[in-house]
Amino acid sequence: MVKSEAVTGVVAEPRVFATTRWSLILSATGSDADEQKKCEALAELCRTYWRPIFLFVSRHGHSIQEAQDLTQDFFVMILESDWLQQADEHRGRFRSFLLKSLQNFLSHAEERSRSVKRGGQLEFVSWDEWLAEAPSQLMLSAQTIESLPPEHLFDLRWAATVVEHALQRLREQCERKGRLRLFETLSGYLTSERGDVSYAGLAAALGIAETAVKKQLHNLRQRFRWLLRDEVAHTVENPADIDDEIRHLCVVLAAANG
Amino acid sequence: MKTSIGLSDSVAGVVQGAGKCEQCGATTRLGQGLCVSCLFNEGLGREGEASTEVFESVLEEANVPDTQWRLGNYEILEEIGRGGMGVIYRARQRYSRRFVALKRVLTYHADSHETLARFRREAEAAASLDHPNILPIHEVGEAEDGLPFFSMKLATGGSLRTAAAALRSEPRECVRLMAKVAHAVAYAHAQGILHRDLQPGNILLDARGEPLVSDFGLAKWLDKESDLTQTLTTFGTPGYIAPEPAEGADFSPAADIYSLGAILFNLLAGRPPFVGPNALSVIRQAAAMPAPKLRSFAPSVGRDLETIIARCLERDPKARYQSAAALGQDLERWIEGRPIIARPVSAPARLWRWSRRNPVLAGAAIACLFLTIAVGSLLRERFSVQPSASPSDKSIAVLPFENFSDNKENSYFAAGIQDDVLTSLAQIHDLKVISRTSVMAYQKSSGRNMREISRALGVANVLEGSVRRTGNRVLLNVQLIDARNDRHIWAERYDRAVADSIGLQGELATKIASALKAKLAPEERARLDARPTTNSEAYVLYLTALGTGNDIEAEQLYMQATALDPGFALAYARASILNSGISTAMASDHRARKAKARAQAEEALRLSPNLGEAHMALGLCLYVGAKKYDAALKEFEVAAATSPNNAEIYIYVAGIYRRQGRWRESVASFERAMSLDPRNRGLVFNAGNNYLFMRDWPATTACYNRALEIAPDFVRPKVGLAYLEVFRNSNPAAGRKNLKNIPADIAPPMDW
Repeated sequence: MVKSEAVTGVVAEPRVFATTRWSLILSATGSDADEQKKCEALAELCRTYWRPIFLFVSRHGHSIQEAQDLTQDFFVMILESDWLQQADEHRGRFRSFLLKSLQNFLSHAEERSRSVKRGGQLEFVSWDEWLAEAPSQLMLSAQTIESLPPEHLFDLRWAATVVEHALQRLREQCERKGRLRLFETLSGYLTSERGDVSYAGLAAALGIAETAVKKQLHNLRQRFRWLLRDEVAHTVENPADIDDEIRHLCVVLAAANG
Repeated sequence: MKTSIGLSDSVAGVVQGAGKCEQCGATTRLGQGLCVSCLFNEGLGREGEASTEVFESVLEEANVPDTQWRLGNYEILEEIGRGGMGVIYRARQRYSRRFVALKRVLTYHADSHETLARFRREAEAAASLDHPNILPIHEVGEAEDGLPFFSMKLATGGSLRTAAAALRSEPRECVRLMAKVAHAVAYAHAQGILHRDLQPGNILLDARGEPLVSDFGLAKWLDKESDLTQTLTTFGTPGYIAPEPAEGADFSPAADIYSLGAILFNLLAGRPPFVGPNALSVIRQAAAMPAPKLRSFAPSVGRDLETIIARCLERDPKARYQSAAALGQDLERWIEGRPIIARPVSAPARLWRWSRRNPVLAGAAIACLFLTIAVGSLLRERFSVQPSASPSDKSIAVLPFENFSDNKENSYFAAGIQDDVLTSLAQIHDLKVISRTSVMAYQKSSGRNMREISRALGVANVLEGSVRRTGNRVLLNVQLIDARNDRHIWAERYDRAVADSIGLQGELATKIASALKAKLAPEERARLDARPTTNSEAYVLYLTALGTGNDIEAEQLYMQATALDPGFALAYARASILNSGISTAMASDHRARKAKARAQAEEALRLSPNLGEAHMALGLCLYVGAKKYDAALKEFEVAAATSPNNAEIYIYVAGIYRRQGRWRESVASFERAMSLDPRNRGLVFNAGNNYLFMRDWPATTACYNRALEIAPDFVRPKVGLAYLEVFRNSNPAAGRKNLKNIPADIAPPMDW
């Protein structure tokens, strides 16, 4: 999967990561304003990654309504409790920390339901909005959904969410620069091997030279890579963990398709 | 993501092959066809990353600014939605400057010429649909890159998805919108086009908030990715797809009907009937368990609406409404406060349920009923055949007149005038005039689709009218329309004292005949000129009786009219016809009614020996009372000579021939009746019975199915189809299954 195109003179800059969401969230408590920022960052992450959580809860044999309520309860729990204060070996990565917490949460959910009547009194965000605003394009085979252990399914859905989010951002950035058409025409080839791309056809469709097409596709790939890594960076505490996290998810994806 | 005119993100259109990635073999794909594994691997690539500045500067080098983006003759302005395979833009037509929505296939799906050609054909078929509630497609074209696109009306009011939250508190408005949508879908079905992906996002709203159904038949092309049984989106809005196509069965109109029910459910309950973390789970629920009751989510909604929706969401497609039109009509009944067809339990329904629980006993009872009810129903039902492809220029349907009067009695009066005009026209040999039963389905004058009516009834022309009666005056507006092209031919306004309106029907009929260039024989002209009475009070009673729809009340009104004008032969004749009918309907006073009918018929004939209705009345007495069939036939022959377009007469004649074992003549007479009364379910069913006894199985099946198409809840043809399994295929098990498929909560109509 490693491409070897050398059509541009663009030099990749060494990446300097700003403070990412997860590292911000885990940073030592500061002022009220910092607390507010942390809270917003956590809410933002939850909003991005609700699908793996909901899928996991559902896959655990809960009815749809229960799964909706439990997902809501889980978000409320992590947003309002001292969840983050738990010392945990998984803390370095938002994904694994969240999964661990979710497993814990679910194992105690039954006890809690005996004492507290759930009913979605507190909605983190409305399901309608989730459904309407962020339709997912992911397709999985039925066999994958049924045969994978829930933890793998969680990771698989997580990986897809990362990818979808990165693609969405790439699209928006192109649109902002008035190059949506370029994105639409080329984004289908982001992962194509060089030999599989009909540059002549694309050049004709866009009305630009073949060399320009190659350069633009290369640029889109590089930007996608930047965005994908940025997405992952937001979910790890230490930038050094980005590659590890990506590798982990690649393995999950490979296993799911095996 | 903007989805106001968005492409579907549901799974309904998801079809074909699991789609393995060519590079890594993975099946986890995004809708655009991109492989999640390969995309993720990109993250580890060694080509480096582009910072924001570098990325943007390279981007700007490409001289393809969106401001110069054109497809065919359209300037692309912005993206307003996208789906798996396609994308939709707001665009402007270059020369006319009109704004349109433009939909196209995304470049990377251009791998198969065959697919594109089929997409194009489908788009062209969809473009042929012409209905006020279907989003018009302006143009199907091809862009410079060879990919097809189509432009359509830009619906600016969002979609039912975006409007759902606001609509939830207005159930009547939800129902009104969905009734229109159902009729639009029915129209497309009649053209042989299924939608396949009805969901809130596909039902757009124009600036006035009227619904426009989009993407007919196109969903499968716009969202082609994978086979539902193999590959599913992990989160979409699959709650609108019927279980059976998802399970591999062919798509049918019934699946669209399921979707319509699910959309209405969503509008009223705030969620579709089934939700789940993935399409698979939603579809499994839909296939495995009955849809939840609407009222468990929306307790304030009435039971009738719950019943209508439950009917759409039946797992067995056969148990749903048999047509989208039937659903639309039931929704209209609900709006108008009339009883819905899909009512849950009534006395006959309980009987029906009993018969399902006791099939052997019930079978015997049904066998008896099957034969004995035929005549009764013939009388109570004025009775259809497939309308001919191109109707004669001299054919007409008189649709129910709109009543602008203030009270109920006056509404009967309005209905009476319509009936009177229809009867007068029916006397003209050179015209084909559709009978009353068939036109009564078009009660509502607003939103009538003339072309559809022309097709359904097999007529070229339609007469519409409105009546306002205030005190002693009658204001009548009529217009004659060429329904094939919605062109107005003639209109007239009459403002008269009630006393002067006697004979108006004949005057009108003469004018219409002349407008349609129909020949009038001298004796026909004389009949049309004749006034049935000279007493205006008697005439008002007569018109009210014609319009009331209640046989017993009407008979009394006719008799009151004869009390005021003892020379009113037509009122006697009509009273007689009603009494004969009532006498066959298991009335306790049937003997007295028969006697009365005979006396009234004879009085009518004494007063007016050539009156067609009087001969019909006597014919009926001889048929159902005296059982003197040959004598009855002679009377009907005279009646038919003066009223050649009266389907009722041919129905009686067919019944007599049947009793006499003259099957071919009976069938010919039924066929003639059906050409005049194509939407009369009882007639069509009875013709089917004839074919059954004649062992003409295909014709039997066609009639029963057609009766069901007209009236999806009509139980008798369903029972008939069960019999057919036994008679034709010697397959009692299949027959029993057919019987079991009849929903237990169906309310059989009175003529069961």
